[in-house]
Amino acid sequence: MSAIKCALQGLHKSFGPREVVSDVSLSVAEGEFVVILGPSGCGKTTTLCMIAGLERPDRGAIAIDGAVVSAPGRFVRPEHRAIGMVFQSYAIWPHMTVFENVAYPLRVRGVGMRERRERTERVLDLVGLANEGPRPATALSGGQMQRVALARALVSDPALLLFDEPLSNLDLKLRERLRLELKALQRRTGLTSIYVTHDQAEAVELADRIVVMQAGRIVQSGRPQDLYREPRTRFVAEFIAAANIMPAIVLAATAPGIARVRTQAGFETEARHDTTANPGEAVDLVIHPEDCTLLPPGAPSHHCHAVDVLGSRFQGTATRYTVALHGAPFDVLVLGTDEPLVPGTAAMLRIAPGRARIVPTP
Amino acid sequence: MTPGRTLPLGTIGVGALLLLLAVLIVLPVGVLLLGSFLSEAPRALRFDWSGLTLANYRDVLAAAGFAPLLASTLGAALAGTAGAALIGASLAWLAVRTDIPGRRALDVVAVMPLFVPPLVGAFAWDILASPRSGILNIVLRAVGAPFTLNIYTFGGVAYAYAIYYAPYIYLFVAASLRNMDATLEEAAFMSGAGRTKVLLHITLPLAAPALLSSSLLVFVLLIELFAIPAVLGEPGNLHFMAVRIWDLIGFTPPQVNQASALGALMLVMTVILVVLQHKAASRRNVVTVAGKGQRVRPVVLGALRWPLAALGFGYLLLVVVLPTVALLFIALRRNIFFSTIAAILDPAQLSFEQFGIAFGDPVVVGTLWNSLAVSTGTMAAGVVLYFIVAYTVHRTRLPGRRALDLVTVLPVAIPGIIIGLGYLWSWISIPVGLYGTLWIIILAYVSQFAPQATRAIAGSLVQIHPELEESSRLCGAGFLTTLRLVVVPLARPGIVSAMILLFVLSFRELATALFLYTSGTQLFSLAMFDFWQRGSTGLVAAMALVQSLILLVFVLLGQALRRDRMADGNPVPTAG
Repeated sequence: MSAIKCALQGLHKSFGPREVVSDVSLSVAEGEFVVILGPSGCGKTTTLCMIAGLERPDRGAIAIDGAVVSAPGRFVRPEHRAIGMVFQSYAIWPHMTVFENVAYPLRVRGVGMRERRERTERVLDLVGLANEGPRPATALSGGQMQRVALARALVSDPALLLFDEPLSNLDLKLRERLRLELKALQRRTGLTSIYVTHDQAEAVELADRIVVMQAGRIVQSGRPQDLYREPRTRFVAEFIAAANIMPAIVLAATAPGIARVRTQAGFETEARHDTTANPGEAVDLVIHPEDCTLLPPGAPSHHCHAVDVLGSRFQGTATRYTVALHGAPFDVLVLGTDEPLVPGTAAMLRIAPGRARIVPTP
Repeated sequence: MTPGRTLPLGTIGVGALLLLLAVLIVLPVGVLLLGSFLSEAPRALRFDWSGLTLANYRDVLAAAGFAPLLASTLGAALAGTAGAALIGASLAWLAVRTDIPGRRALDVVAVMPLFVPPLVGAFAWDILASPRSGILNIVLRAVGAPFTLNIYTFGGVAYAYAIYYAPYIYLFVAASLRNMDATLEEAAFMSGAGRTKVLLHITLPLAAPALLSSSLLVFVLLIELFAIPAVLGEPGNLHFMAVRIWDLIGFTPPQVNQASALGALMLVMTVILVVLQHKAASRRNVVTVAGKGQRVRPVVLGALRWPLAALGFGYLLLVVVLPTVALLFIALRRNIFFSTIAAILDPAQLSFEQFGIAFGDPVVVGTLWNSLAVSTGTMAAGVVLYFIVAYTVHRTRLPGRRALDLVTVLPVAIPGIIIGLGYLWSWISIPVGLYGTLWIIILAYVSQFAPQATRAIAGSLVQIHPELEESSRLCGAGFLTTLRLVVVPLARPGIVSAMILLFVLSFRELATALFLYTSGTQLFSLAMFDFWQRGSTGLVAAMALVQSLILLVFVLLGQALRRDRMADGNPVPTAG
């Protein structure tokens, strides 16, 4: 593991009687792209603002590049933290041109005119706005404003780059394109980044590591694949992907980390778990629709279960079926563009072995 | 979220601001209230607590003229408010919601009287409609009309109130109508309601909160008003509270304590009304606020368009054209006595003599310089102070900012004449040499116009997204650099508006300064009022025109500055 670029330790923040951030600790390695993911009001933006110095933590410490910037009795103001930040509203100053906006961090730091111009032009070039410098900032489209905000955050070579839901005001197509560009740019510059969003698709695509927050706390953090496959709570499972989540009872532990469970509807399967699973315990069974497939009736496989098709939704590149599994609805995602099975058709449901997982009931 | 929070001295700063505003605004009113319970002139530093008495209130309330005084003050204010509401709301509806010809122009016309100081308007109507020598009456007599106009009556005063205060109602109601979702009216049309029904059942009820709150505001302003009652009421033996307070101080010996008691009673009324107004304003109808992309389809007036347009522009004739012509006519005459149309039209009378006399008089010129100095001082001190206040209230989370907000709105409920009286008694006894200088007038004005200035600046500040400021901090700019390079340039329209307001309001103010000037610190509007009392109508007309011209130039200048938003900052570096 390379050097720690940003470390949060035991952060707490309350607004009035409401604690919005509770005991948040996090280490971000140099060059890492960390996405803080969570629903609105989970404390992710407040956490970001504390890193930026726009909010003062009630308790806890923050270090950037090894230097403590926030701790009891110590508070480095935002302008002295060497952080670049891209805001949700872009925060492009309407009374300045594109060039003036981007050059501003250099201007207030007293960088000479020639160097200022050189560096500003370089970074404008980097974000694909090479010739847009003299334009008034108000004449830009949403996507261009986003690039100006990014250029301004990059121009002073910050130690850390912060993003506060920067793509949420753009339309879907543009959002997807800028997401790719952003990731490529971060790879190229190697800048340590912390990115806040409520959009799991964005998080999964951008992140080296996702930190999921709920009600002011970090509930799980890990590689996107890990969060997807090994959600530790029902909340994470629901938030990362639209999974089948069924209340179930543990029947028996069959192997280390594996237990046999039965859903309320009566469906039985073996499922993985991290913590203990005692027989009789109520749990939630998580199965991803994309880990399942539908086979013709009578297909011989011990991973198959007889189901009836209840309905289907065509989703462009796949068909999402809802089938009755022991009478309870269950979603299956079948790739391809085959003609869908009509409701009432009998089929065999195959669940990829080892993919079912149990999480504690909340 | 707010960088201002991290100011190390923030809390101390708020404390200092509160103290300053308390001295500026609360202290004078407190001294006046105290004085109303004393038997001798109140002193700010050494009170004679043993002399507490209710005698002043008894004397004021038991005085023979008190009932008619209260009746004419409240009655004229009420009638004036009703008239202003009718004119203002009708104009607003015509200009915003109908297809009346020239609706854009009407929108400009409707607010023009705001630039006519009440004192100047009163002079003009005195010239136009005084019972014997009024120009309109001479014309009426010449055409053999069986009646004459008399502006020196209850109706006359209420009329002047109504036409000069209609623009306040207009501004509120027009804004409310503009924000109104037009589909609400269209739905009523589709339900089978006609134009009149839609107006009565839908439009009017939706605009009611704005109409009510602006009417209450106008009512307060009219109760406080000094200039129009002093010029148009007194000659007809109609007495008003503000004028009465001035009279009491003018007695020998001055009845300071009775004046204070009367002032306190007036204050009780205005405070109650302002609280009511606040309630009405905060009960703004949320339903009427439409989302974006609304189409405003004007109400089709049909054959009524032209007569209604004539009525709308007739208002311009009444409040701007006619008075200006009257003032010009008097100012450009050699002899101000005339009784026939022939005498009115006599070209031999045309001359610039009055201007020559007025501005050849070093006293008049001195008062002009004094007024310019006071207004400039008020503008400079006020804009700095109220920028700091507005910024603290709206952009920081410092403790005490609510109190700061409250103190700056207080003067809405404090009549100018009471601020003047309070300043007189607080500073005449505090030995800092303030009394007798222009500074005391500047301070009184700075206090008096706190609400207007703060509101103008706050209006711009709250429109600046906090992230615009936060991003500057993250770019490495400190608090003051951010203020200078980001906040101030972006808040410029509000700052310029506040400067225009402070200058204009202080330049035309009369009542507040009545008790604060001495021989060396007389102001232009005070001199005008003085000349009018001595019957020098020609001089007054010339001075009124000059005052209006100065105000007009200043307002136009300010508006040009407001619009030019991109001129600030560094020259644009061109790439490549």
